[in-house]
Amino acid sequence: MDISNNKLAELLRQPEKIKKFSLLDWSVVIQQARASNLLYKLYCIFNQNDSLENIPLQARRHIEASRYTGENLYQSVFREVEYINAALQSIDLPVILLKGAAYVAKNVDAGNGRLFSDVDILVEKNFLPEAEKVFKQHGWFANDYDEYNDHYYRTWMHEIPALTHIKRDSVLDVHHAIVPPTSNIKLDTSKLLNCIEKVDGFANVFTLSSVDMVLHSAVHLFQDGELEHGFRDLVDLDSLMKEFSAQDPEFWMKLVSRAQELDLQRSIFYALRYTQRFLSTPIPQEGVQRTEIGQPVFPKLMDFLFERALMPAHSTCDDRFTAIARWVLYIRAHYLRMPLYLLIPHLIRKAYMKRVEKNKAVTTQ
Amino acid sequence: MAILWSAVSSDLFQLEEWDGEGVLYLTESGDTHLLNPIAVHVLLTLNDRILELNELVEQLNKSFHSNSEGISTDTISKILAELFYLGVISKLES
Amino acid sequence: MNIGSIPQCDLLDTVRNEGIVFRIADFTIKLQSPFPEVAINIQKLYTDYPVVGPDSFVDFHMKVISPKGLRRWYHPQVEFYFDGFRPFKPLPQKQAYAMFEWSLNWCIANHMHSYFIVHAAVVEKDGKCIILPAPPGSGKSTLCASLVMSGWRLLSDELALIDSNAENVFPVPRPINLKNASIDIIRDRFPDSIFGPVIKDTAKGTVSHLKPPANSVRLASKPSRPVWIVFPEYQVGSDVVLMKKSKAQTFMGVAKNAFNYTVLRREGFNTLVRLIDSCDCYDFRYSKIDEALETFQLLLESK
Repeated sequence: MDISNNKLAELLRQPEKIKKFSLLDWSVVIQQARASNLLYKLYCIFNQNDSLENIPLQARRHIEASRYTGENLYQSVFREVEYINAALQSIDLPVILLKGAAYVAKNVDAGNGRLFSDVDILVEKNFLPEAEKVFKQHGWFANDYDEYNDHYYRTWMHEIPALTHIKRDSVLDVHHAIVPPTSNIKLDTSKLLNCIEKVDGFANVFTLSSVDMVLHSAVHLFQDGELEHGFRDLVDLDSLMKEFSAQDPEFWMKLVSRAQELDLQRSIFYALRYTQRFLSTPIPQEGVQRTEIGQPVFPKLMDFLFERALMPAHSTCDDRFTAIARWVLYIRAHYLRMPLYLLIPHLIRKAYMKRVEKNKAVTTQ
Repeated sequence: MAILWSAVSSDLFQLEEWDGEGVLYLTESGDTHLLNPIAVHVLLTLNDRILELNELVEQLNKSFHSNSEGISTDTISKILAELFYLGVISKLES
Repeated sequence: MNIGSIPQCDLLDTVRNEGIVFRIADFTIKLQSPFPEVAINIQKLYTDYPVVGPDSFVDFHMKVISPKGLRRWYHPQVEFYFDGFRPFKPLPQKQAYAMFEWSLNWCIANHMHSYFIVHAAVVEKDGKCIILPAPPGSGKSTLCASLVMSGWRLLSDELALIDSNAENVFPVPRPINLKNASIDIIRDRFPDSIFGPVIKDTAKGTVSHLKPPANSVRLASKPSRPVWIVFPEYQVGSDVVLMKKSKAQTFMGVAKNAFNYTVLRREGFNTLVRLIDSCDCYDFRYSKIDEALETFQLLLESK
């Protein structure tokens, strides 16, 4: 697919184009950035390299306006991690942060400008009942309780239903694995737990190791099928890999070996392929070659699908196959997660519930 | 053992005052509260000095030149409790 | 070129297809809609607003369109899309024009954080402006419409856009949203007034939009210095009362009516402090328009 409509990717690949973009280009970039939840990221990048002034004022004020949400979020995340820590420390469990909260806590560049609404943590499966109990005591409750959803999560997913804090309204996602138990990938979570790394400045707070962080991001994007954040997740991957490889010359070899060890070769193949395609991530040739073992059976078909689905979710990035590509990958993700005899009734129910929600014409003002 | 009261670091709040009444901004939560003139005085006083309850009551009665009854210890106690709950004053035991 | 000078069939075509791109004061809007009543009323109420070229930067890409599926025909509905997002649930299709106006309020209030934005009407005369914050139902729009049809300039009936120094309020003069009885009150009192469609059974009751005077639109790029903050309250049978309001209480009242006070945090607090410092503050109660107009004239002359 011709990805040149992805003006946002163009700017991320070559930030110096800030001086060359026309007003119309900026119109498009801001729409694509909003659709990908990356507007604040743009602010952080250009603020960091002191080039905000090079953006025409009409566009700049939209980018600058995004900083308020971002800065408010960061303040509240650190507080939230303290509260989570207070709860888990009382039962001698570590706080293992995942995704956005992990990037921010670990102070990596991927956390710079990264917006997220929930804090994700990893808790060993055996300790899940205790953890749930202590979270309840500290004010977190499962919202919109629905027996089916609850059963779905607990039986087939790698996380329990999201918990919302009764006073602060903050949301906590508790994972016990990074892939669902019904998935075709059999990943032993204890291997991840054995390599967690402590976060500076906090007692009892950890993240996955650098390599595992990248693999988690890759498997989440390419297996879980949450592609509405697809482009944003690619940006995360690009940032993580660039930073970790600069810190550790052995990084690529470690990444490839670990992918093999954890049976995540398919995900890492896709991660390297599409970060290079969209963001020109500098990956050594040997690294690329060694991931080719994870190639899919029909690489051209997967390119057709992913090149569309990973674009920002905005009409300026769509072609006439985009909608169907997203739909196919959505089905694929569920298929990877659950066997067919469970999948079909589940999808039917999901479609029905969505229709019921949509037809409620509630006036808004 | 007396309890001493004092305002917390000025990073944690901002107080603006017009004609005696005040608005109080709390840095951490971003919340804003309306303060009556007595509460404003209590906070401003404790920003300058560390005082016990009785000393504070005496100080305020002098500043306010109030009616014959004066400002009661009870009133000040309640205000201290509220300001403490908001996190803008702290207590030490001497 | 203004919207009014485009032949109607061309305008209908443009709005239906690529969308019309036009400027409202400091903002550039692109609006696409297949509903003829939207294009027709844009022409009626935004006659004097300039159209801009397709290469302009657009602040808000707005689509007011039919939903896909059954709701296109069965109890037809209208949806609003902003930059590809659908922020609201659908409304009945006959509310399409109102949906455009309410959605534009939402676009500005939720994104333009370079301003401190208060839910208020703003009017100006002799270089001095009055900010009228008020929750729905306070009669702010009726009062605003009366002032504006009596020689005051309209800066906005809904959104006070205040710069961070609180030295200026920036205009965004748009059709005034009137409800229920006010529609007839203003129509009767000001026979020259031009209204958009009268839309019944909305969440606010019956609504209609009043076209702002051409002068207000002409001066859309001219900000104004805030001098007074007045909280209006319409009360049936009440005598006209203008009472001084304490600055601290005004602060709390404005903060409560501000769209982005909590988003701006300390910056919002400081901007509001500066605004309160520089304005005289009042509560205002009225029931007769003439008395209200007279009071505001006296207020203007007092400074």
